[in-house]
Amino acid sequence: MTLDTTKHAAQTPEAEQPWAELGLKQDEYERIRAILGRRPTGAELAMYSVMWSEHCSYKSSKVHLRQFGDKAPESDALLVGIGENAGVVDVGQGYAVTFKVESHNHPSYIEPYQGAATGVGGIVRDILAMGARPVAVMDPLRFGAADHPDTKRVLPGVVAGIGGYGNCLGLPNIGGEVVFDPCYQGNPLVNALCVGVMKHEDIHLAKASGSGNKVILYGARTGGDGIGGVSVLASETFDDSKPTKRPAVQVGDPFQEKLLIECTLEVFKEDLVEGIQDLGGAGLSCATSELASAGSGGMRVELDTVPLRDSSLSPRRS
Amino acid sequence: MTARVGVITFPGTLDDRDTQRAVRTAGLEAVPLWHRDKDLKQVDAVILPGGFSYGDYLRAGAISRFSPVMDSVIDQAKAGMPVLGICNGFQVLTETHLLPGAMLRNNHLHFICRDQKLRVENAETTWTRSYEQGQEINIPLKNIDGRYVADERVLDELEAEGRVVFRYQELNPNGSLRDIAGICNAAGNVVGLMPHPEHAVEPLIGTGRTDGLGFFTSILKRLVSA
Repeated sequence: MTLDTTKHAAQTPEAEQPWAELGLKQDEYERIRAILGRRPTGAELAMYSVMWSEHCSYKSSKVHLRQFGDKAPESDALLVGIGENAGVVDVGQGYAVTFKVESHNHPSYIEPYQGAATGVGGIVRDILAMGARPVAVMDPLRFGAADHPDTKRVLPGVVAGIGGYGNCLGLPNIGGEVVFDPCYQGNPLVNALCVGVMKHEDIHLAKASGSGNKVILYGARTGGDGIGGVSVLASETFDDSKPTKRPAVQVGDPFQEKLLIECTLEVFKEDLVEGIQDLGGAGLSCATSELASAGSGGMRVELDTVPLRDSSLSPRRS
Repeated sequence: MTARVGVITFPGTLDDRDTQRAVRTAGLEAVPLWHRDKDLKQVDAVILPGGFSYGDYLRAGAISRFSPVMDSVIDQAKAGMPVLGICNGFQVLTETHLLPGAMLRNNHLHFICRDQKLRVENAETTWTRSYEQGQEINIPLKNIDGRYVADERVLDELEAEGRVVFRYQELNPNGSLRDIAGICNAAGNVVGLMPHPEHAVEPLIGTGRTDGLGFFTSILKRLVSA
């Protein structure tokens, strides 16, 4: 197989590319070509598809979300605001809490247990990445009518996934809410909240500044599950006539995440961390590019060195 | 010099920090012990806390039993050192055969989390001396694999020798045989139970009571008088 390098891409401008399968629209693909001045390589196309997904870029909701920043009253208690993994609020005596709620709706609709479980996993890592020890989770949920068959399909798995994953991390579920309404049929809302506690001086940001720093990837090995989840799953509507998109839902490993929590807190304590970012929906593409762009320089990433759960996984899919 | 109580951390252990805190609350020194170290750092007693040691892969406690630290714990327990296993720690103790029987999935097949009433059936073990015989205590219970089972002969033996240390009161939350919540070895220095005394040592949290503190003050009494 020839590697689809930038040079190869420039020489083969007419090569067919699977932009539609990756969740991109025609005009978005044209835009990528215009920005690069050539067609993207396979890996570049995969990166654009996830980074320009609604999940990562908030392309349609950005205009509304911006108001949280613009209209927020000035406060000395807000230690970290919009734009980071999670907000941080001063609670006195040198302590701060950080909390965030995030939806995992589409994955939970397709594969209720793993979708909801990895929703908890993701939000816990956001809290951890701020420098805090996660201490509790909550879950506001919305399902279709209580007697609708699809509610019966989705609800037990969602509840078990949230409870099971949090329990394995030692995080109590301290509250939540549930509403049944036909308007959520076929589109349940599965939100997970995590709260963490830290000292003011423990705050860490997703910003990798300075040159010569090492970039360390650690945690669960990268597998073939969940690939393109943000672009293939999150931005699409569902259609029974198409094959299931279950493989695009990530499979959780709470035991690994528990080890990740303890390991990360130890690394923080040793004062070894310049900037830190968790791997969310768009995985390495998102974490590396966001860390680098928030900092002062670039980042050289050797995808060949990523520890794999499946040795046949190609760089394009990382 | 105060007594030193070792608290083991396996990968996946969850209640090690709460246990260390409970030990300190009782006026003892908490010494963190790591699963890969055979060295018990000359502690006077050891606690195996709850959680999912080694992810509970294969079977709860089945892998932890082979960790280096457990080799030392087994040797010392046989020599008389006080050992307490809470929840997953109890499961590890049955896997090592320091305590008889096993824990199966709860009879209702669900995870359960509640404040649980227990009766202290034996207030003479190393870990229960601060309690009165027959005293009722209320401490949190949280597990999915909590149903204590053993064959009839072993159960009769435990009853006859006074080795049933705690029994569930009012409600048997998981189908444990003869309502058994906790047991001890023949010498009374090794105790295991499913409920969590370490979560009930301060009035601010948990049940709002300090019913669990007696475990830790019991060990203090024993170590100071020794």
